[in-house]
Amino acid sequence: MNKAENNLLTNSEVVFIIFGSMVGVGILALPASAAATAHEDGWITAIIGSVYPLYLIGICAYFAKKFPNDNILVISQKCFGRILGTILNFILLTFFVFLCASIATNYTNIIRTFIQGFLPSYILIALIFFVCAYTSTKGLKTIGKVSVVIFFTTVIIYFSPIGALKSASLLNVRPVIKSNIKDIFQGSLKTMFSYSGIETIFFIYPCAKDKKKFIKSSLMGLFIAVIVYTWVIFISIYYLGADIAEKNYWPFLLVTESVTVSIVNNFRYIFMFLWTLTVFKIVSNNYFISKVIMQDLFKKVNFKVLCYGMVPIFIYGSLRLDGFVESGLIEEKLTNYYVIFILTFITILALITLIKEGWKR
Amino acid sequence: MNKKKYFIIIAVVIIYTIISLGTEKISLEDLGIITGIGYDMKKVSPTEKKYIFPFSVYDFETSGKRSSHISVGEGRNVGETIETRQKQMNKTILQGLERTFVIGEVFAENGLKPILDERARNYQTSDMAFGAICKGKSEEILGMNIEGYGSSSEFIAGLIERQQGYNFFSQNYKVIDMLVRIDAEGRNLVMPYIDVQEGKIEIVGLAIFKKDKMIATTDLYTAKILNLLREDNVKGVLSYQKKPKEYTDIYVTSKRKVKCEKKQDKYTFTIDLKLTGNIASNTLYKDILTNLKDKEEYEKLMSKKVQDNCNEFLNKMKNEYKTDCLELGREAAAKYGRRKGIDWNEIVCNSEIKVNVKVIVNEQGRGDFIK
Repeated sequence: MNKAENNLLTNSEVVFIIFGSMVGVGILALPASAAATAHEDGWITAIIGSVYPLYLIGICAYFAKKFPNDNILVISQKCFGRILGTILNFILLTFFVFLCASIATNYTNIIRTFIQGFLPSYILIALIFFVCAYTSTKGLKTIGKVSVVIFFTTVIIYFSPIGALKSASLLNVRPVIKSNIKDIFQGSLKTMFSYSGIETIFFIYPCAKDKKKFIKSSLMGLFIAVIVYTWVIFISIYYLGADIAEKNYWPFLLVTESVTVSIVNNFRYIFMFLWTLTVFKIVSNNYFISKVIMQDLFKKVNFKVLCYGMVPIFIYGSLRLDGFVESGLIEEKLTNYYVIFILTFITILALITLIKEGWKR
Repeated sequence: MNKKKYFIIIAVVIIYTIISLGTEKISLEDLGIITGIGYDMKKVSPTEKKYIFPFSVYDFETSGKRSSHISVGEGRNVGETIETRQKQMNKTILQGLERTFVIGEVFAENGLKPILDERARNYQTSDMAFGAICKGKSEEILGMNIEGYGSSSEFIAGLIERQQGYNFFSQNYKVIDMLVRIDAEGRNLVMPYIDVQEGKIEIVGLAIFKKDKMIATTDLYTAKILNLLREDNVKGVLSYQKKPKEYTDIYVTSKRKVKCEKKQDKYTFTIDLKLTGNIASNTLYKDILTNLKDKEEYEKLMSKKVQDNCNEFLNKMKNEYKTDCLELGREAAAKYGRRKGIDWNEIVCNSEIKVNVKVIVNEQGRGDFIK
């Protein structure tokens, strides 16, 4: 096996990169927004919301078949021409910057509330991005390995409140699908955004070792994410009830703290430590993708310089989003726009390639 | 490679110093650890109320001695109480280790909403502290000296926690249970009711809430029946006494199932109670274990007695309390849909509630001395 092949991603790395790009900071707050719109049927929205990533994976399967060695940046320049393609790629870059920035601000908000009130947020944000910049200088293979390791070390936090199953009652999640269908649909639109990060697949499929199994692996990653999201929403509503879950900012955290683990005295710090790892992972995954786009825009710049050079942009973006009320308002709007942009962008791209192919024949 | 290693070590040291700059370290003797919180209210004028929140605080002396004192915060709102409390303190307050919270009667009657919001927002406090409603002022109970305990709040926490297993008490009297019950559809809160009797703190019954306001208190006998009807998988003693010297007691574990049916606009609730237990003491039936007839007769008599007690309580609930203290509305809401603007307290009190009790004796202990 030569060195180039060694740098390709194995199947399990693909699974956990995809899982790791989606699931991170959102799990704590997701039950609140799901319960606020779909009430006791909130957990169903996580399943319905997976339509969005499924659609993207479907289109990715088509691209992977047509252009097995080109990522989306090359395809977009091929289809839209050099100038328009570059502009669209740049918008894609801003999306990833926004994603990283919003994750980092949410993270600092929670960590400052619960355990590190003494640290100003800009220090935390700067630390996160320097660590992520360092990780992304090591390349995609390292990101893959880190994703696998972090998944297995932190999987316990998703299922730590399993003891709550005993102490609460199933009455809280009943009646099933008796609330308004419109409510469930609206809730699904909200949970759909928590799957953003799935866009990573368009950048990593050329790097997979086993290209035939790439789609299967990414579906596997999505499947694990759907299970985790559904479980997190379900257990929060199950333990607290839909009326109370929506009143908390981070209901999942309340559930984990209420379930006493007999050996561990204060589970909060262990939870926060492990959860910090998942946040670092999700930020570094998305940071790496932004670096890939940046590299495409500035081909001549040394990639290490680029990695560290991007840090100030991210810090600036995060600090712009700082503040609980402001960030909530901006994030909601921007995520809506970006999801619409990505859906149309990818769809048009797929259509153009389809038409071009027909033209050739 | 070596250069890089040194660079990383230096970077870590620099980051650590930057982070730890300006943080202050406090020794244990300078900390005031809160072990119990009280909530009282005083009416200054018909429109104006004053909050009085006593805090039981531990003092650690350099000699290693441990004692506690009460510091009181007063004010027109929760924020003011925090500042007035600190007026008499020479220490930094440390939250999160409190064991109990005691709510005064007057405060509970006026509604728990003011502290609920503070509790839900405050990330430093412990959600696992046990709570109780007390007769009179909470300050007096928290300030009591109990031998062997650093402060009375420690005793009260144990008192509430260890009721489980007797009088059909559950353990659902924590902050988190309070947050989960108030405001949830079809649910109502009950809390242990404590009082000082002959110099000792005792559980004297239950306090019944409607939404966030306390509407009634019960004696221990009524509390026992209420618990039996309300909670699932709880334990207690049932007795059947014919004459002063002839009685049979059993220690039972309950199993509760609720069925709810709706015909047109009428709801019917059926509570099935299955009580299995062992004989704790028996002077009434000579051969309850060898004679099937005796056993069945006893089970029937006991079931009838419990059922009568339950029906008596249900009458009291419908006519006196006018609240759904059994959380039956929750079952109906789970079956027939939520958020329809139904007042479950009213619906439950005006509908038919059936109770079926089945007592089963299945364990006997190690010997029989009455033969």
